[in-house]
Amino acid sequence: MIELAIGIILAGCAIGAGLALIAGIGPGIGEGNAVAKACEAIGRQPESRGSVTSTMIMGCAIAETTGLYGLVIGILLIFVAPNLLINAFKNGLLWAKENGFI
Amino acid sequence: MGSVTIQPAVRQETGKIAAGVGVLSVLTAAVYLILGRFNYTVLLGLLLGMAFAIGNFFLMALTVQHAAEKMNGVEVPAEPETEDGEEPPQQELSPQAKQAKKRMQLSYMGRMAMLVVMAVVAIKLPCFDAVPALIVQLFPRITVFIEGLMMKKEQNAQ
Repeated sequence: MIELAIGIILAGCAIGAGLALIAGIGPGIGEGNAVAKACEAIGRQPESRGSVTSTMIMGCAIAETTGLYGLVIGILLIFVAPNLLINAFKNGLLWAKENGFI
Repeated sequence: MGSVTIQPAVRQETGKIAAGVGVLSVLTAAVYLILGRFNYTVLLGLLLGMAFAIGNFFLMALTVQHAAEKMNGVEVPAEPETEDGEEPPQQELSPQAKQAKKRMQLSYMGRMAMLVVMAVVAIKLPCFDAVPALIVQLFPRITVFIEGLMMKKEQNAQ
């Protein structure tokens, strides 16, 4: 029974990490589009290159954060969350046994 | 390989981000110190995270600079004029812009892969505390947000 519960916890963490990493797709596409359009803007108005580059760098930094959030959550779900959740589950089980719930 | 000239815009923005990340990292260290959980692993984690966050931003800025440099001497026709409130028709991207798009997407994937490697190193090696190393990755966004707020304040004051 405990093995099954641990298996469900691990599977949940793996599925959650996979879902969190979907967030990494959007920024890649968005950044590419933004840079392509900014390059065209530079092509049209070469004199505005400095300001367009600065704005583009800041825009890319902001766009990238979404991917970073997803990646950090995914990494935490894979490496940190399973141990925490399994320990919490075992402690909960112990507490339930001690108090006569099981 | 030829040497790369770093544009002033890249240097300036990277400097700002480095300063912001540095200040926020010191604040994080202070929070750890107040909580009584500060030790050398937290310091090493912060340093690793800082180096990676600034390096990541710098690489991104270099990619953007490279993409902008590729447009040197390339003339892109102006968008056709439209009536008020009407969307201009979608134009095909120029080959240079398409190349820049691909380069940026490739750079993003590479940097994300590097982040995964850094996170795994921080988690697996006992000399690093992974939590501060990962928290620092969110500081460039906070720095940009604070910079935006300060610019708004300046504009309002003027």
